[in-house]
Amino acid sequence: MLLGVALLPAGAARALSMAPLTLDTTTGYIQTANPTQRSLKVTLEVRLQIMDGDMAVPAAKPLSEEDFLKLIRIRPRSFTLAPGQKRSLPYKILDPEATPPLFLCSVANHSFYRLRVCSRWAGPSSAKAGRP
Amino acid sequence: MSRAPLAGRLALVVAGLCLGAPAQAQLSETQIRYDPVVLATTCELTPRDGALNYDQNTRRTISSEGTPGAVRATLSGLVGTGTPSGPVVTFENPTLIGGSPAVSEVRVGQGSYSQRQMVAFDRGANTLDVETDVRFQSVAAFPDGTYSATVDVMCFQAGF
Repeated sequence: MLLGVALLPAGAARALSMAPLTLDTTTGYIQTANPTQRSLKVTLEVRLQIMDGDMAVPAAKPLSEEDFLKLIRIRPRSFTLAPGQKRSLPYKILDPEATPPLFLCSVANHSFYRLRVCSRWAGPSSAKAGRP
Repeated sequence: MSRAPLAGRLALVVAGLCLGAPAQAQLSETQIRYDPVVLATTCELTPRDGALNYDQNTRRTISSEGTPGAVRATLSGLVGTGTPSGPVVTFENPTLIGGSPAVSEVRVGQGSYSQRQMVAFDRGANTLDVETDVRFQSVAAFPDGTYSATVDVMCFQAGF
């Protein structure tokens, strides 16, 4: 065989879930969960909102760690979820009036896919005070 | 010594014992704390791997056609039974590991290939099952080697 194309591992059951899908308050919690039987490494990232036609979507690339830290306080930004584990993390939009619309995303790598579930911060006009 | 001062002293002693009782009990209080729960719409992504094949005649195309990957996206925690308007799932950034194709594309179902695909939940549906293929094309034949691929899947609440 001249050209070898790898068969990717099948049935490696991984999954990622996250809530809420919208950040309606300046402080609150996001919750990530690993509904599978295998541990899952999750990292958080922030993407600014861009317009794709008339639809607001996440930008193609995440913000740098430095810019992330200027906008949102949330810890930890990387962690491992045990099988079946849920984790709630308190967040705070540091300067709501100056924070543009963005997406706070949980990211998990899978062999064939990079899974990403994002919560949308629509900007200061939609902000309500929250209490973590 | 008159009776009145004696009664007063006894009263002070009794009062002192009573006042001292709570301090001596040293009540110990603790709380059980519960992790918060987020009551909101949740998106869960569950992928299934695909496999790559290649065009054995030209060796210019590597794709997953015939053995696609798949993703199930599930929304839960919706209030009421209304349409979950807004959440979408995108497939983008198809990446060939082991080679440098001229064109990298993704498709959902039997649709056409492009660099990015977006699928919305059907009206009233909380579950979305999507098969997805990746395709990589090169001007010249891909050299001998081992190739694998990834694609980014994202669930989010789109803004309008």
